[in-house]
Formats: sequence, structure tokens, C-alpha cells
Amino acid sequence: MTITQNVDITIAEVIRKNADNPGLGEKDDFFDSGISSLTVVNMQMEIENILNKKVETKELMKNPSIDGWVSVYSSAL
Amino acid sequence: MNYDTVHEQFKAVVRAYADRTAISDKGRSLSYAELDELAERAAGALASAGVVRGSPVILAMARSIDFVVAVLAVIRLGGVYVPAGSRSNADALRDLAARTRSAHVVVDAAGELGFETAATLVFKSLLEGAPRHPLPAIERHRDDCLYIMFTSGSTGAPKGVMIPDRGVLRLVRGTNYTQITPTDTIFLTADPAFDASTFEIWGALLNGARIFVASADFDPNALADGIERHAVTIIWLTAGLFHAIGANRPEMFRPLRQLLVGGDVLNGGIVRAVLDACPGLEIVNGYGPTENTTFTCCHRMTGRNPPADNVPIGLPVTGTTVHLLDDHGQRVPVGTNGTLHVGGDGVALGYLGRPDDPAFVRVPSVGDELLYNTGDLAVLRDGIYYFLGRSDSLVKIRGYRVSTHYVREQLYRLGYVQEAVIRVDTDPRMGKRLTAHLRLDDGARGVADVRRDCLSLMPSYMVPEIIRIVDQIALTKNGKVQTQQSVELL
Repeated sequence: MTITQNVDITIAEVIRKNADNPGLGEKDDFFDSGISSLTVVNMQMEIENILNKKVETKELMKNPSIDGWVSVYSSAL
Repeated sequence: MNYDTVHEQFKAVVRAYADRTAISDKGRSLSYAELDELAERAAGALASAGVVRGSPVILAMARSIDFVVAVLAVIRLGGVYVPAGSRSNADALRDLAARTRSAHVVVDAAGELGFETAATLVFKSLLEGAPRHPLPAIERHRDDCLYIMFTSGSTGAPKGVMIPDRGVLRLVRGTNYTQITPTDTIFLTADPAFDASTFEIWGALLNGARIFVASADFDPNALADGIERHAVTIIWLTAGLFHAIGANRPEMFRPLRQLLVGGDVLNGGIVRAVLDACPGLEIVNGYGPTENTTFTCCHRMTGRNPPADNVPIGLPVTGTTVHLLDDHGQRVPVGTNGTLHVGGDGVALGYLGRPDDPAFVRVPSVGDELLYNTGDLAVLRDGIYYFLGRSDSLVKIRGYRVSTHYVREQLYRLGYVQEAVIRVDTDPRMGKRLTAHLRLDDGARGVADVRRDCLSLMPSYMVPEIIRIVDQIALTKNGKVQTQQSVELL
């Protein structure tokens, strides 16, 4: 995977894998699937290692869904 | 020179390093002289509000420069600071005020917490209205209570741990696990109500070093930014956060001189990975209950001295005595498991309002000193201590006595288990059963393979009935592994 990796696909893959829920919808709150604050940090680092983009963890905490993260990372420089 | 009280030691540092930076965040910086002046002004206002020697003062403030000023102001008057933590709410503060019989609560902003009393003081107004005339000197002793920190303990009921000046001085002055100098910068990342903040704040301020205040919780990028751009040299992290970062971005710690980790059992594999990625870094496994002032034993590790999979807790911190005792209060032979009792200057004055709590004991076979019974099992091997788990870790599974710690040790022996948490759940039909949450090496086996491998190491009744392979193990707000009351944390 490289910096050109599709943001939507990467985020969906990482979140669904960490939630252990392949059917997790784009708008579903992943905290309802048992995701913890530490898992958020782990998913963040996993995604950022792939996308080479960095965001604040608190923004991710405030937007706990695939769509929410896509929006946060798409807005990042 | 060493002084008997935290206040005297801080004043000596102010005299020696007046112009050096004492504390900073992303937008603000104070020298030791400026910090001291603000603390004196805030102390003047607190004195006007009725704070005197021995007064408990609740600090319902976020981790910040202001919080540190407030701490210094309280101890300037001989008061006792009670950090409420950044997530305080009105109910929690009412409970805290009742438990500590505190008449004074300092908050960051008016109305913010929905907790208002006649004695609620807004921090900013302390500085605005403070008299500028010098305060009289106070009489303070090394055994005076410096702060009260609440811990849930093993029963879940909050207990206020009363820590004296001597405990803090023993933690950060002339000790054997770290040498903090005025050229160091310590990252303040812990919540104020968590005792790691004791090390971070006083480790810096009593040695002339600088505090850099973290702007965010659990944010690896903020940590990386502080380490790279703000010249942080020493940091403390919970084991959970260290494992998460170490597994994904081990090189992040490269600029540090020393990384202290605590709160849970350390994973030797991740420690080695971080040491490999960060030549020159020293990692310290810091073990200890709040009741013995943050750290009791520490184990120092470098690239030349990497740990095995089972990371020891090391040697007692200077000024600490450690005793491994059996159920009859007798010392156990070297190499034999015992319950870890600790003594020395770090031992708390006791629990607030619980003068006869049995956790604080005098054991005739050891001598007359007051000991704290940690309830943790440990063993001394080759001159260093190893944590084995809680002494109450034995459970009965279908009639068999099972040590959850032993089960966990066996799981680590499989070689591909990165992290393991064993829970004891009660099924209404089946009774107690073990559930293992495991984080495995990449590409490692499935549940059936793990179960088969377990049977080669332990009897079938010890193999957890439910094995869950997970990517991460949950953390509480303080960064410890999340458990329920019925859970055995390993």
C-alpha cells in the first residue's frame, strides 16, 4: 500500500478489522462494536502509517464511524 | 543539597535555577522565578479564603500550567492538595468534598463543572485578587500529608491514599532508577488524579528540570510532537499505550533519554523492538502501588541489557524496603513466591478515614516499620524481583484450584502471544470459567491452534474455555487494561 491508497477503503478495512465486524456500516458508531480508546489509537497509527496523513486523536474520538474518519482524514493536509 | 520537605526543596531549586524554564506548554512558558511568584500570589488568595496548614484543597482542574501553580500554592500554605482529575463532574466533586471534608475547591472556570459552593474558587481570580505582600513562612515536616490521591483498590471502593513529603522526596531525589538533571524535560501526560503525575511534576520541579504539558490524551501525534519539537527527554506511559505505540511506531521514542512504563505487565517483545529502533534509549519498568508513592521497584533496560519475555520489576527504589512474606508473615526463601510487602519513606500515612485498614501492617518477623501489603505476588530470582500477579488470583474452576497468573505465564510460553488478559466470568449454568483475550504475533494461529498448544503446556482444566483473539486490549481512562469487578487482571 502507498500514499495513493484510497482513503475510504483503507479506513473501512482497518476499522472493520479492529471491530471484528465485517458488516459494520459506514455510519455505524464503532464504539457500539466494542472499540476502546486504545483501539482508536491503534487504528489511527495503522491508518496513518498507510496514508501518511496525521490528525488529532480527539477529532477521531468525536467522529466514531467509518464516514466520520473518512471526513477527518480527507480534510487533513 | 537535600531538604526535608517538598516546599523547601522547591524553593532551593527556585534559588538555584531562577531563570531556567520550569514549565511550558505549546503557548506559554514560565521560569522558576515566574512560577514561584505566581504560586505565592495564588497562595495569598487561598490564605485569604481560609486555607491553612493541613487544609485539604480539591483541585478540580485539567492538566495544565495553572494546575501546577495551584499545587504549589496549596503546599506553600502547608495545605494538602487533592487532585480531582480532568474528568470531574458535580457528583464526583460532592463525593470528594464529603470524603476529604474539604472546604475549598479550585476550578478552572466558573460554572464549568456544575459544582458551586461558597468555597469554590476560580483559579484565574486567585491571581487577580491576590495580595502582593509576602506570606509568612510555614512550618512543615517530612511526615506531613502532601496530597491525597484516590485509588479504587482491589475492592472497587475508593480509598484516599495520604502521601507525605518524604514519599515524594524519596521518589525523585537521589534515587537509583533515574537521574533527573536541569537539562531534562519531562512530559506531563498523566491525568492529575493519577499518581504518575507525581513523578512527572515533582521529578522536574525538585531537580531544576522542565515540565512540558501534553495538550491531549492518548494522542500519539501529540506525543511525537512533544518529543521531537519540544525537546522532551523523559516520559512516562502506561503499559497499554506504550504497547500500542511500540507495536506501530517504535522509532517515535528515539529522541528520548529515558522512557518509564508502568501500570501493567510489560511485554518483553515490544520493549526489545523499541530498544532496537531507539539506540541510546533506556526503558524503565516502573512497578508500584499508589500507596508507596508511585514507584516501588524499577528495572532499567537498554539495547545492551534487553529483557527476556518476562520483564522483571527489578530492584527496590532507593529508600524502599521490600519483603516477600508467606501467609503467616514469615519471609520466604529466595526463589519462592511471596506476597510483596513494602516499607521505607515511600509508604503512605494510610487511607483517609480508615486508620485500622489491614493493608498497612507491622510484621514482627520483619521489624517495627510500617509496611504496606501490596497483595501482589512476587519472587526474587538472580537478585531481581519478578511480579507474578495478585496474591488473590487463585480461582476454583470446576473444583480445581487454578492460578490465573500461572495460566497467563503458560500462554506467554507459547512464544506467539504478545498480550494476554484472563477474565474469570461466572456462567449461571456452568459456574466460573476462564476467558482469555489474546493478542498474537502477526500471522499467528487461530483459536483451535492456540487451544491445542495450550494442552501441551497445562492440564485441560486450566485451558481457558473461551479464547478470543483480539487486535487490541481495552484501556480504562487511566490507560490500564479495562476489567470488570469479576475480572482477574494479569
